[in-house]
Amino acid sequence: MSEPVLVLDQASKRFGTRQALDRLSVSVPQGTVWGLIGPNGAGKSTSFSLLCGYLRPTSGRVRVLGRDPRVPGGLKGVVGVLPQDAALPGYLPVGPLLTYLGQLSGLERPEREARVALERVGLSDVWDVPPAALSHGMGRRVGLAQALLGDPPVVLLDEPTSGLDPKVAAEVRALVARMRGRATVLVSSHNLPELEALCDGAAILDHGRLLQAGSMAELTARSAEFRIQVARGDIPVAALRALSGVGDVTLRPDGLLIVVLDPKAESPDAVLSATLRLLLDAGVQVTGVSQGQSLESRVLALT
Amino acid sequence: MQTLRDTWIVFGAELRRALKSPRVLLVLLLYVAFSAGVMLAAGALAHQAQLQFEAQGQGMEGLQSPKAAMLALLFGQDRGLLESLMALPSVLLVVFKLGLIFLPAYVALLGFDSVSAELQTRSLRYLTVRTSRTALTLGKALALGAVVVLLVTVVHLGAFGYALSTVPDFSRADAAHAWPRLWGTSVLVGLAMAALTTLCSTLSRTPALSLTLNFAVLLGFWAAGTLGSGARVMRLVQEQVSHQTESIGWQERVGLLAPSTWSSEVLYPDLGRALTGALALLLFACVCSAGAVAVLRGRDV
Repeated sequence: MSEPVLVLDQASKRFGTRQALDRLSVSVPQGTVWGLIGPNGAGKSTSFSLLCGYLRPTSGRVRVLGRDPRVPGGLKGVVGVLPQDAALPGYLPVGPLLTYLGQLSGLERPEREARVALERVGLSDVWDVPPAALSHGMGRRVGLAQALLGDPPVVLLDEPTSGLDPKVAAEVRALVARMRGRATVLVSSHNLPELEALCDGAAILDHGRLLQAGSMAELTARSAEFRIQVARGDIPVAALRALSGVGDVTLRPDGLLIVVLDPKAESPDAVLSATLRLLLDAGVQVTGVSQGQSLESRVLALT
Repeated sequence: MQTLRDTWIVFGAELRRALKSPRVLLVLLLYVAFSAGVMLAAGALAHQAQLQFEAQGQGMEGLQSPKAAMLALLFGQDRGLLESLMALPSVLLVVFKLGLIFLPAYVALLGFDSVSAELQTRSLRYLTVRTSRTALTLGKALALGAVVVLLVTVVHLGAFGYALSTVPDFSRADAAHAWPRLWGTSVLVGLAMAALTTLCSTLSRTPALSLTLNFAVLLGFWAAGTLGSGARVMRLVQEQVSHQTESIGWQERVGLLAPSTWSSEVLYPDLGRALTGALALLLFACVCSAGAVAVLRGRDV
């Protein structure tokens, strides 16, 4: 695995008597899209703020591309951030504002980069519009545009699709997906299906602590079990248990068949195919198949 | 080098923002209207006093004159200073002194939210990932300073123009001679106050808190300055009575903390004292600016 680009090492943050983060350790490899998951108050935005240098950790170590984010100008030109609850500076229209931000990022052609960034989020026509005149969704897209200015190698997006209509949200997801391999992206969202589809891995937080972190396959146990929704028919449970590579079989009253793989099974896909063949040969009607748990189920089970 | 470049970028953006701001125009109007009112009132009073004393066969010159008494009220009892100011038109001095008294309040109104408003809305977060907080603070403080210099210059041009057109004895050469002292003093005080306002703004998370803190600090400096100048007068009187040099008390030392104490020094005809006053005000501005940088660098945004 490549060198971690984002590192939180035993990072804690306390606000007065409230412990917002408690010895959190997470590292995000280069070129991947990672999610930060958890209920409200889990510590997602605090983790973002530590990585962006907005907050100083009470203890522990924070590194972005090996740099301390609190070192003055340390993130210049290498990090693009979409903060969750920060209003866009209102003193300049959108275009000049992005140009100004591009200048501060040290871009060679800030105005050109600003136009490109606005085009990427489909807002070329708001150049002269004051940020205060934008709708919430347009404001988020302008926020996304400023985060993508100059294609920084690290992009941190806090709730990027919050408040966006489904079409625009899908465009934003596609935009983030295209960054995979070119940039390291950390995304925080409450939309778990979105994160499951988008991310290579994730960290699940609750009450400021890390509950679980790993690749999406590990989190959803994609290669450890699969689920088959059965509509009708007698299920040959004993025969299924006897199949090579199957560890255990459970049939729930709602017709959900959970097949847990033998850890020694060489090919989960081959086991799935054999299971389906057996079921279909027995005249069982199958209406759905999924590998592993959904991320949502995993998160709900953990938090 | 990078910090200097970014400071320049922030300065440019903040200056453009300030010059387009309706608030700057409003404060400028307030400042000009106040100065114009003072000019007209002072001009009328001076004219009336002149007529009255000419009717009594007394002149307006000399340290026993009503003008000297008025200047002593405004600038203190120092004989050397009063003699150097006697040559200047009363209207100019009154506008200058009252403008100087209210200048800190104008500066506070102009810049109290320069950082605090961005802390409240968290819009500063878009900037701090791109540049150092040092460049942000200095750029904002310098832009506020530039706007203050502009305001001071406009008001002084107006006051000097009015004095040139209404006081026959006040020539262009006299104006050119007086300009650096009066304008320079106002500019130094304005820059010191711009730095103080920026410091108060970095210390506060909301504009309302910043404005309150700023005025509380100004009130503190006013109290310290008043205490110091009062103690100084008392000491000088005691020295005259006892013919002995009296030691400087703590009240007078407290007064040294107030920028107003040093702004009076800048007016002295003695170059050494004037430079000491100017350096003290610049030191005050530097300390406040450094404090603002340290506060913003240390705080969570």
